[in-house]
Amino acid sequence: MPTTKDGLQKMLEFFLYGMMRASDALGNTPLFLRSIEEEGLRKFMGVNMPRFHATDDAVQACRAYTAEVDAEGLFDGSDTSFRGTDDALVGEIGSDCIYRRVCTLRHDEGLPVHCIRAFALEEMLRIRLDEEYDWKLERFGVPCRISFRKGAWK
Amino acid sequence: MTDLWGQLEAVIEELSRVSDIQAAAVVRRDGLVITHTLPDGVDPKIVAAMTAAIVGTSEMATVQLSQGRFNRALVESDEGKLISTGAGEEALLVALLYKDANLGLVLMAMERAARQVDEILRRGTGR
Repeated sequence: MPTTKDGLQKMLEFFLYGMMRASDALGNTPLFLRSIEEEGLRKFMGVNMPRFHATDDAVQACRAYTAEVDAEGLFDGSDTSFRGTDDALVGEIGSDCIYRRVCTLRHDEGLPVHCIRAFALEEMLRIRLDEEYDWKLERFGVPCRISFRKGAWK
Repeated sequence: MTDLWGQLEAVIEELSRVSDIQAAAVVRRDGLVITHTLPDGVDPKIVAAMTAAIVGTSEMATVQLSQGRFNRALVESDEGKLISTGAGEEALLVALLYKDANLGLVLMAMERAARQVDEILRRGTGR
């Protein structure tokens, strides 16, 4: 039987959960996830998201990135929203997030929840806007709320 | 460049002037470079990521082996030494030493620099 959409989702969860637990054991999961996003975006952003052109405005850049990822069929971005300013912005991600099950598993196990989409947005802003941002999961739930604050040292 | 970045750069340049230290860097715990004095030919991005990995793994090892609080990681090789240590909640400090470096002197300088980095970042981020 060929791979199904449901099967691909299960495979994503299997690898993501396993990789995060493995990197937990090695001591620096944020480093691991940030590196994955950095390398992946540098390789695939131009190929898989040809219509995505970030503006200088961080809020608009996050909206445009999410819209493009949605348009490319990677995930449903319709329940994701962004607001705020260039220095401090907030994103809200609804129930349809493809990573939600993995995050819920970690949350229920009492492990830190590392938002993959926040890592991706942080790296996108760094690569395309040349700006450093730090993200923080302000609330895990429906919706999840993540904040981005411009790094103070650049 | 911000004033904060300038202050961090001043700390790392002062540390790099210690005679046994060849080069030094301040990096984020998630493996991004903040500032460095690494020589040409050394990729600061790779050094930052390796430092974050070394410290993360070393911290985990001290916890798993019930060795108390992690202080620093020392990597010794034929041509020199590498010391990595925490510099507050957000940053790490790494120094590349010459082969015959006086460790006592270097560790004192690194502890002072790590405290300074921590204070600068606390002031800068309002924590």
